[in-house]
Amino acid sequence: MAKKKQAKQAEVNIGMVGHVDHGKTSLTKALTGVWTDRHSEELRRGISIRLGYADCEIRKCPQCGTYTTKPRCPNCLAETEFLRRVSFVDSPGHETLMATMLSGASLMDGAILVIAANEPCPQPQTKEHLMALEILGIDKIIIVQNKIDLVDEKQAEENYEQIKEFVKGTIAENAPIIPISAHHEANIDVLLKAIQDFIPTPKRDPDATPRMYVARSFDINKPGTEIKDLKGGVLGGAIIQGVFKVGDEIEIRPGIKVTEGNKTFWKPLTTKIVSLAAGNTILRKAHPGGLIGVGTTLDPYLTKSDALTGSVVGLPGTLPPIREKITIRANLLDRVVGTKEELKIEPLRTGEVLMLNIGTATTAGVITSARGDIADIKLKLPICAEIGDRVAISRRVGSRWRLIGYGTIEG
Amino acid sequence: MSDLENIDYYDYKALLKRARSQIPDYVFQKDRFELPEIEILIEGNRTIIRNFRELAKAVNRDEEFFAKYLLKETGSAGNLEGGRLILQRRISPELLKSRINDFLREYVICRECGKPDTKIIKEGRVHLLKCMACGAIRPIRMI
Repeated sequence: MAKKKQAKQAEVNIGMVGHVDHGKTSLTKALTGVWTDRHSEELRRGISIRLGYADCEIRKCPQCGTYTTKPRCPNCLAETEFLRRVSFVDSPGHETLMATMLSGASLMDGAILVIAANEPCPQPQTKEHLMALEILGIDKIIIVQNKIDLVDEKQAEENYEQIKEFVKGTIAENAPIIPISAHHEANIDVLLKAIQDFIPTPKRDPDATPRMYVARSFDINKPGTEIKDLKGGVLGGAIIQGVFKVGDEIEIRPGIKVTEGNKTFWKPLTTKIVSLAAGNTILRKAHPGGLIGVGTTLDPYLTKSDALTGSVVGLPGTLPPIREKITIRANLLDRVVGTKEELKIEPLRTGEVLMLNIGTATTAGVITSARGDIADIKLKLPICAEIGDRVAISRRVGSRWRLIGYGTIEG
Repeated sequence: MSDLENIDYYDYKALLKRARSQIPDYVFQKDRFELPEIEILIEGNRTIIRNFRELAKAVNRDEEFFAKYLLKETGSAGNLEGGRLILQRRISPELLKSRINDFLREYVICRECGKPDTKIIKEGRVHLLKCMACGAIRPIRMI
């Protein structure tokens, strides 16, 4: 039989979502071998803070049918066949980092909802993350019941019933619930098969206008680098359509803030792609799927410390306009889902401050006019978005931002 | 042929049974961790733990590290001598035992599964407590 060509680049992005400390990062490690918490504060505090990403190959043994991520079958040691390369987006589960999770969610084609068996279900952020998936329209979901090694069989079954009750009537109602233990890699092969069955690769149009959301940006020069050895800034994110090639001229919006005289405006950045990478693999062109590192000729100062997160990249002249004011049609939830006690959500009010997530961008806005479910909003930071794009809306509840619904951009 | 071919994603009991069969047996044991009896002796103005080496061995931690923690927590000078810990201060046995329990909670017992089978590893500049029973990793601050 013909061997499927082994891809350098992932085909699909799968998000790890769920409540804090339920094992999302551990599950990512069990699947990919990569511990995505690299930031020193993430190690010191034991929680994920930034978006993590890692990818792996899903392989199958032709002799005994085992699914694995390794070149050799762990059961019968035969050589395995490549099926697909997938990428995982590991998002933080802590309630204060919900904006980061929403940024990551816009890159996901499917999601794995991680629920720990040793805690009652649903926990607040499990609810909030599932609501975010619903708002963003991510309907290919697998539910994973983690940490079953810490409970006995009866407790695990009770937790399973709680999960069934929780997802009834939601977007994840028909999702499979797979009990696993990430640390002991129990049932990981079932999860791999479920990923193959429930999260197919979406159809992509290679001729579409290329576009990319920036999830992170970096200055990769180490301190003390000689001037002649400096490398340009690097953008990390996901391509959502089209194909980028090395050598392409690209435009980045909204770009940077420029003040001339006493007038302030935002100026798009224009640069050139000098390299493309997926994980440790260098590419000459990149299509949607996986998380792509784009090396540019930008001054690395502009990209350090995730400064360009939320930007949109495309060929010059093809990007949506930069908007400092938007009009949205809002669809609000009935209750705030991120808190233990669920509060009723009131309609939008003129003068209210909201946090909005569009693509990977996060911005604050003040409602200048609210009438029914239509609201005019003046943004603190501009966004680059199309008419019809979805916006996740969060409102300040107590000292936190809480997800309250979504809107679509109308102007 | 593997049982994966015709697996039913919605048969939870079968999946649970399968997962539990892949987890080592010792993980499910619930035996309680027991520390040996602490032999505390008060001589005049000094307090002596006579079986300190035995205690450190039981919790699988470096004797000096354990001693350093106790000295710091009790705010007294002291030294290790022939398997005994000598503190240059009179300390009540209740206080000493509670400090030892604090040490166990912070540096020995796994927060996830409650087992004492942990070890301290270093990742870059961060020290982590890794449980050999359930695999959980937790950052700790060294003394």
